[in-house]
Amino acid sequence: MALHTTTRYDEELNDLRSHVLSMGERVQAALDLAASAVNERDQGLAQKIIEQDKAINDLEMTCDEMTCTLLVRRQPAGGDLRFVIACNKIVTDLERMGDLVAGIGRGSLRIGEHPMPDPDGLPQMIDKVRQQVSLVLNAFGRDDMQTAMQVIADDDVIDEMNASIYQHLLDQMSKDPALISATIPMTNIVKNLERIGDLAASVAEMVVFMVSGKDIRHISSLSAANRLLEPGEGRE
Amino acid sequence: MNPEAPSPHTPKVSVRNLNFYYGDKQVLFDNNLDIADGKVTAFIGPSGCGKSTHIRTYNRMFDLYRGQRADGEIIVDGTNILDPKIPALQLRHKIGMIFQKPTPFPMSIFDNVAYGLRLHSKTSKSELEGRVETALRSAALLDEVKDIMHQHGTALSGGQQQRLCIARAIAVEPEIILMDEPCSALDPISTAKIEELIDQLKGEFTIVIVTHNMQQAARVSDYTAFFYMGKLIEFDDTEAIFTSPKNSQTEDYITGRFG
Repeated sequence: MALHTTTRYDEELNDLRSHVLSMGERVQAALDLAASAVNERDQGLAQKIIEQDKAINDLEMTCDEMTCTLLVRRQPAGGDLRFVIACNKIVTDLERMGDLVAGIGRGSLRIGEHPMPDPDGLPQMIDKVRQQVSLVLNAFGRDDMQTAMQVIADDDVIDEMNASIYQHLLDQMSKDPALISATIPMTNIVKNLERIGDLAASVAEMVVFMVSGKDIRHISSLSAANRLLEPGEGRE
Repeated sequence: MNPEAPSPHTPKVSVRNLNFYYGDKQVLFDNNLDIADGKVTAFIGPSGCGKSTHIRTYNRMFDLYRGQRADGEIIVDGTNILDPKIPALQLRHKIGMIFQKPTPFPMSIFDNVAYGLRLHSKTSKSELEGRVETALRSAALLDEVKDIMHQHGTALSGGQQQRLCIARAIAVEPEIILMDEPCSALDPISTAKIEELIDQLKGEFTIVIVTHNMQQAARVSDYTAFFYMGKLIEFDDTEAIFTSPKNSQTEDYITGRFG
């Protein structure tokens, strides 16, 4: 897209995009630490995760301030308006992801206190969630609607993994009530991972809105969302 | 590309295949659009895009200049007003116009508003006074001028003068009000008052406004038309134009990338 007549406006938009991406990188870094904390029972990492969460919270406030300034000073329109609105919502999702990752960090300390084997499929679920977060940040950075749609489609995979692991944990608790205190923190970790997956899909919906102007939230099925995005009503 | 206008409301004006020429130079190319009745339609576009030329065809202002001509059709209430048989005076009674710079006549505030009424109809003194007062009230100026009605119109502030011109235009009860950059010579407070007035007048009048100020178009209008190099590039609900324009030229203009 052509540059704005006002150079500073372009700089401000680029600055907002890089801050949102930095926030996303912090979430990824925290998620990597949380994955190690859970997979390797490395309790020393919890403090580092909490530090990342603080940095994520600070970046949220910086991004919100930049959004406010852009709205009041530039009165963005068209694609610029959608970009600023999308950033505002994405930042909220990323901050929640940060909180959920911190929750996983805290959970990892508790599962360390009650050793038990990992439920089947947990490392795979962690990897899938990390992949989703990474893909959606790439999609945001590159205005890549196709990747965003892939992230939305793949959220079902995470939901299935969640359902299967959750059932396994329930079975485990019914069979051996002595494992309940060890299993509850694990169910929380799995629930948090599932929520992070949902938030990655929510960010992806905002990327779709930002690029296409189409709001595909709360649409009953992926095929209905794809129909809405079909050419015909798009940019000429 | 020259899109048909969306017409969710009854059109007050239907423009079909409008071309306009300054001598040999063509400046409007095959413009087609519908102006919705009782709504505010804004024309935006860079300088020289034809938006003022387009609006000035609606009351045949170009009749006053030699060598200027329009072809195509401008249908107002079923009549093609480009037909030379339609008397210009009758047309301008029905279609009032407000210009960039306030143009009060060198006479009293009262006489400014009464001027058109006296021109168009024989009115008794008491009826004239009533209609002048109504027009000034509708133009949100009455409270400021009721004690100085016999002072010169030119003694008012710029914003007041513009509202006086609006009072003068609406006194003759037009159906359509054309506004060509009505706020560009005004300070922000006076601009806000005119915008508030536009909001109050719509419904009763069909308003078409040309503006350089895109934020003003976004604030005051129901529909927005984007012109570029004499062509109507895109015409849609104002919200659609400013959030998801379909044409990349419109997008570039409204986001400040050219123009």
